[in-house]
Amino acid sequence: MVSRTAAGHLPGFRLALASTLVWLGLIVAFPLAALIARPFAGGLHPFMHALFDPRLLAALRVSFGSAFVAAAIDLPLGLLLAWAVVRAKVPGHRLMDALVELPLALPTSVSGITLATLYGPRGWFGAPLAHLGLKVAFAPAGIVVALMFVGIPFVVRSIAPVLANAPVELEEAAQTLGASRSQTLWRVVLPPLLPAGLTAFGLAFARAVGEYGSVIFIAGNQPFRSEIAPLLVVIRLQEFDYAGGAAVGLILLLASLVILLALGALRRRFHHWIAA
Amino acid sequence: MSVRLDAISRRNAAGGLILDDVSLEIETGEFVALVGPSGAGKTSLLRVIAGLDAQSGGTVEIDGRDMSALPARARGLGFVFQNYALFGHLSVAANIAFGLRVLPRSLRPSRSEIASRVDELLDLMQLPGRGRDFPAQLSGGQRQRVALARALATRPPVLLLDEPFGALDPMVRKSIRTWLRDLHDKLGLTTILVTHDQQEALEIADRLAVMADGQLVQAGAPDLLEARPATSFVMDFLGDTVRIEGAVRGGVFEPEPAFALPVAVNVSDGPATLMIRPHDIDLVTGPAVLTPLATHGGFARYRVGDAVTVHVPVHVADRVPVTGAALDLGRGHLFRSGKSINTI
Repeated sequence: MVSRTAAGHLPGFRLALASTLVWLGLIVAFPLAALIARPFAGGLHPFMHALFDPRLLAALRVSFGSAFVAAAIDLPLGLLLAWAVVRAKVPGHRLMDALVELPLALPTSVSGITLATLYGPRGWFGAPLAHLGLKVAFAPAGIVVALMFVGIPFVVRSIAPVLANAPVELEEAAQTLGASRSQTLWRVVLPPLLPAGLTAFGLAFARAVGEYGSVIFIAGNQPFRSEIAPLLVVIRLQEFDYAGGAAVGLILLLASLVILLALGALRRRFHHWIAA
Repeated sequence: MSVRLDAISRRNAAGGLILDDVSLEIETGEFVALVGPSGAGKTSLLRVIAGLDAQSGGTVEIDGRDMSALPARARGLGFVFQNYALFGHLSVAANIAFGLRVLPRSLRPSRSEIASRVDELLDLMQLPGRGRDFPAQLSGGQRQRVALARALATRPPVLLLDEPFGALDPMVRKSIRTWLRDLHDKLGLTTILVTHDQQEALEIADRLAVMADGQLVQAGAPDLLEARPATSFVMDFLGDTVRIEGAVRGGVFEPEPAFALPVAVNVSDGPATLMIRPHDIDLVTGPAVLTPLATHGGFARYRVGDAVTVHVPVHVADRVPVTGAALDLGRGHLFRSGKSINTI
């Protein structure tokens, strides 16, 4: 009997799935397994030692903290940008649309150096800010600026299509029911964007936690203050402490996984929202 | 509440005239259907009344008050969208309560008052106990009734409906039509309905406003439009028609086809078109060959000559001449350049 499952309808589904799984195993699961095994190669003790290293804990706090703040700031900014591009169609919106993806194409070192120059003590933004007593480059704030830069394309790209497809009638219905502009925005326009917003936050956050290239040029990299966890991996490797480096990597991986799973669970709570 | 439209016009972004000098008065408690083919301007007119689109000229008065400059949110009219436009992220109850919850604090009913109003509307819409569902879980007909309940929650005096039955299957359409008319009577509403389905309009409305190319062609009760169509378009739009070309000479309309009898008329000489419903044609003995067609809906149908189809009620079909026929067009309407030049 012919099975009527998805596998039955897609020609060559089994073969394609099998080769995909092998490929996925080779390029994703295998290195991940190695990463999980490596910290314990010298027994549990070196791993525990690396884990409770106060410098590592500080670096993790900087990494996750700045990633969280950057993603949280990116969210409203990305929403505004998406609105300008797909809804308001401001003059030059096509150029803006193309520019949004530029941070993804730019080598991260180039963005890092550029940002460090702009926000440095004598930079275009840095000088006036320094005048106000604000230090951005070579300080924790610099990390957030760099992470915002690399994260914003994910926010715009997650939210824009949902915004573009949102029926205008919903806003008109709210108006005929007597809602003011702000009531329409908060009760009708924004809530349906929540699932996409969570995706956007998750992507920007995940990208920010793993970001290395652009941050190290602007962060100042002082241990316990502005040193990010990915940098600590490199430092450990330079010290030939491979178990320590792998331990940092493993913790970054696990923590990110937990956070992304939590965001996914949160997003699934909105499944019954599928537009009527 | 009465609605008075005075010389409404509207241009689209490209400058094209989509509403052209439309004036219409709708009495309190009246059910009016805006009918016409696609692109006639029905929905545009409804949106101008609702305040969703601005008119380029003219005024909208509701109960004697000029609403022309007020935005939709300040007009307090109920509006049901063609695709319902329910808020997918809100439960059915929250959708219905929306209009009450956005009221300023001083006017907003208490939570318990809102809850009981929602229950009342769910009962009225024959959706008891569905308040906790989400729109995505409902059928098309149910969503339609939720949209109606949401529009009625604030007790608007005027209800505007934009093709509300468009997405429903024919069986549901028929039942919800009657039900809507009952609801209109029960709640004492003033209702304006947009539809492209003339049958629907004839069945549900007190008065039809026939639109074409952004203009109001004729407004009136169904029997008036049937008895005195102002233009050939109105006659065509409201039902099946047979069109006979001819000319008036000395008080007699002389049809071009030989199998149609001349008709005595009271109009000046010149070319004219006679239009008549297939069931208004009487068959008398004459020269034309009569071809019987299938019987449908209580009418025996015949083809006369090679173009005209005549509908004869089944109970008088035995009086149809069998040897050959001619058309008696005495109950037709005469038009010249599309305008009515009755009377026959």
